[in-house]
Amino acid sequence: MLTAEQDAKERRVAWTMLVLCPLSFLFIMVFVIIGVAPGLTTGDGHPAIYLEATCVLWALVSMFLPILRLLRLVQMPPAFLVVVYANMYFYVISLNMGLYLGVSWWGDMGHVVSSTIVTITVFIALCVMECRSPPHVTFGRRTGMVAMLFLVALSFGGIWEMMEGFTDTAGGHSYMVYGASDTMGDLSADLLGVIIMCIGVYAYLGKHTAYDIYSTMRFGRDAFVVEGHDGD
Amino acid sequence: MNSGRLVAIASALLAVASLIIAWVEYEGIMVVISAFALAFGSVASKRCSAYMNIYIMIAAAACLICTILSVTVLSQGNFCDAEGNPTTTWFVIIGLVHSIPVIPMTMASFVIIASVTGASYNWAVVRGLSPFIGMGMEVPGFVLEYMFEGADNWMTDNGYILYHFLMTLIVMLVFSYFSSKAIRDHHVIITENGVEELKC
Repeated sequence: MLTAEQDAKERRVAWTMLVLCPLSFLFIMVFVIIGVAPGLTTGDGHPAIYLEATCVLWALVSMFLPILRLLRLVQMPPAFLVVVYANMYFYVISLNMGLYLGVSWWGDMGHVVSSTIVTITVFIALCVMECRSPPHVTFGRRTGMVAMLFLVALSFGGIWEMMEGFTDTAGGHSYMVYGASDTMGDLSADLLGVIIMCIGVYAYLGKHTAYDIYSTMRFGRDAFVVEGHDGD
Repeated sequence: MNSGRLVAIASALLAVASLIIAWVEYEGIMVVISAFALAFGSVASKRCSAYMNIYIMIAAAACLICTILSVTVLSQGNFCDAEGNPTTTWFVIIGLVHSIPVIPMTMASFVIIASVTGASYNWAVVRGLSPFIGMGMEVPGFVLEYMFEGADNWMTDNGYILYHFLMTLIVMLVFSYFSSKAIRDHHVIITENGVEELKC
């Protein structure tokens, strides 16, 4: 059961994230609005509307997990939060700095990094499925978990490219996709990221279980009942 | 030679034939799907029931048929516009054709992984993960095409990749719904022994 002190600490962190993260993304957007973001001029330059939309979108996305925590619905492991938010800033700052256009390998590296984060997220989801499913449902030994992780995590590279492609189709400009070469390179980088993370997960599961991951998070209002309170 | 061994050999031959044709014709996605058929057939011949081996043989045959279709009547050259560019119609058709063998391969992946690792999956897992597994199986195929074509020789249009994934996603969503519904309605689960009746 959650202690009152632990609950208060988690809520403070959630409130801080809820305020500071969107503000910091909007602060980055200011550089775009006043026209000094290097991403506007590096190479062919990103369109200002694309950079601004990216900042706004990620500002909104960054509010998602803190809101879930404040609503007493989901608490993710702190290490996971650090990794996910670091990746968000990595993407937005790189884009606004023009690194995706100015440094030839940056996009591929970004996809490898993002792919590892996605694979971690999928792994956590599989751990939750493993622990919350009926007893007769299991992913089996660690090879079973890793095989399923590999196949499922790989698909998100394709889903991301679809999202990029159809964003460009809807927007009528080439904001995110720079041709088949770019897309194929991204998918290759995604594959590399998934392989790296699957090796890591295989090693991790040698000494740990899915329950070790599951026990570090909380789902549902029942998991947020505070000691000494009746839950309302 | 028993019938089980014959089925396993036939399955392997079909998968190898599909793999060779796909490799020669630079059909990266079908190379990977055929390789999955070969690998699954190999595991199934040692660990799975005769029924599962027949299922994988049919999947390997589907691979071969789709590979042949992809490199003949449905090849890019037959669906070009006046300027020689591939059309959206081709993107959709080839995406659908490549998705057909992915359907049995996805179901086989559950049984094969279960047979090797002692896993067991119910209808919810099949419904939730099938679309991702199907799409995930195609990603190495695109990487292979990237290697086939190189950075400067782009036979493939970006629309090919995007529509391809979209078609696979739609096909897999439909498949996952009906397959999971069948699993739930028949009260069965997928285990290391294949499809088993749920006893509870």
